[in-house]
Amino acid sequence: MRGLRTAKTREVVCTHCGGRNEVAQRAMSVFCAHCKKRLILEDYNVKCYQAVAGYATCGDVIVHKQGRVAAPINAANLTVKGTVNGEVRVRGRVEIAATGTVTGKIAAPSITVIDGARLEAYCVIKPEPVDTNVKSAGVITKQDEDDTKPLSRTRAAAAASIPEKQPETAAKSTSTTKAEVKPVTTRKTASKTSTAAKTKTAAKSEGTSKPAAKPATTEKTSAVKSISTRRPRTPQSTTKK
Amino acid sequence: MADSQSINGEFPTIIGADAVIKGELSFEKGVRLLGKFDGEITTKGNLVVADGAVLSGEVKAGSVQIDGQMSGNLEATGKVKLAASAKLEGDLRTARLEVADGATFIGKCSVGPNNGKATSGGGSSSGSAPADKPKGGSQNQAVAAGKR
Repeated sequence: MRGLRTAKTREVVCTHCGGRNEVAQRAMSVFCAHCKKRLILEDYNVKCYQAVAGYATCGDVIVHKQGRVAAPINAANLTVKGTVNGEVRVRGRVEIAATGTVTGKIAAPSITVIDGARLEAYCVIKPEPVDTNVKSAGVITKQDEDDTKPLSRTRAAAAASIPEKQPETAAKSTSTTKAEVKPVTTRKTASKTSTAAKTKTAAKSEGTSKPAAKPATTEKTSAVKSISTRRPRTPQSTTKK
Repeated sequence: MADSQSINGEFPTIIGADAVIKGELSFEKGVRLLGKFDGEITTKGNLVVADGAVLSGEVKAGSVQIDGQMSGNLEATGKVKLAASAKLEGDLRTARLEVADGATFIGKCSVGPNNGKATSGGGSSSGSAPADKPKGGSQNQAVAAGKR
């Protein structure tokens, strides 16, 4: 197992949940460790029109000169030399060659439009990672924001003595810490970090529960439960393999 | 005068960094915006929105380079360049587009060789009709304008 893990790997972002997976260099498909759905890691070369529902891959999509796509594309990088009509979500770079035409929507961190290319689209070009789905690729930055916000909210609520808002914020903080821990931990350190996470969440919820004791404590127990029920999966899977 | 022109080169007009202007501006040649502007800019030359400058409103220009912030619709007959520090929110019509890594652009985008010709005619309405023939394009626009 260790020998395999030290072999060449690469990191891919799940097209379904946005979680990061470490996969073998030459893997063609894999199941996401976070959402358990199948990920396609191959590159698509579209050389002619194919009636597909969409191209979703962790690899690249290249639409060649004679290629035509009338479907959503979800890929790491996209090169268009032919025609694309649909919603494009790319985590890396979009390149539209001189012969390329894109209509529809584009969401990508960077785009290159070479002279002569045609582009008629609603563009969202942002340097931040694109939300491929609900849980975005930029989990960490969102978490940071959420971590800072509930604290200030709780303080404000405590000052205004409004106990009703407490459970919500507590739940948010616990859920965020859960999500934060999950993708980052490697399998070896999972048990350690999970305990650490428990203590963290416990500490946080306690900190938030001071003004309103009852609802926050229930939140705490539920959070710990959910962690304890979810945790064993990853170590088991490793031992089986 | 000759000296000042040679110094400024392409940009006879420079709107300084501490300027805050509202209104409508039109130029024959290039403009360099360093300050804040809110309104409409029309020029046949280049427009440069420098880093730190804030432009909001409609722009019609020959070619545009944006290093700062801009919100509003942008039409260019030539090239639009978005530098890494650029932020553009609004619709964009241009013949050619160059976006550097790190630039932010949110809005409808229409890039193509036809756009430059259409906008050079000076009508946003011409965009709806595909101007395949560059010579006939202006006539079509004239007809369309007459009907309206």
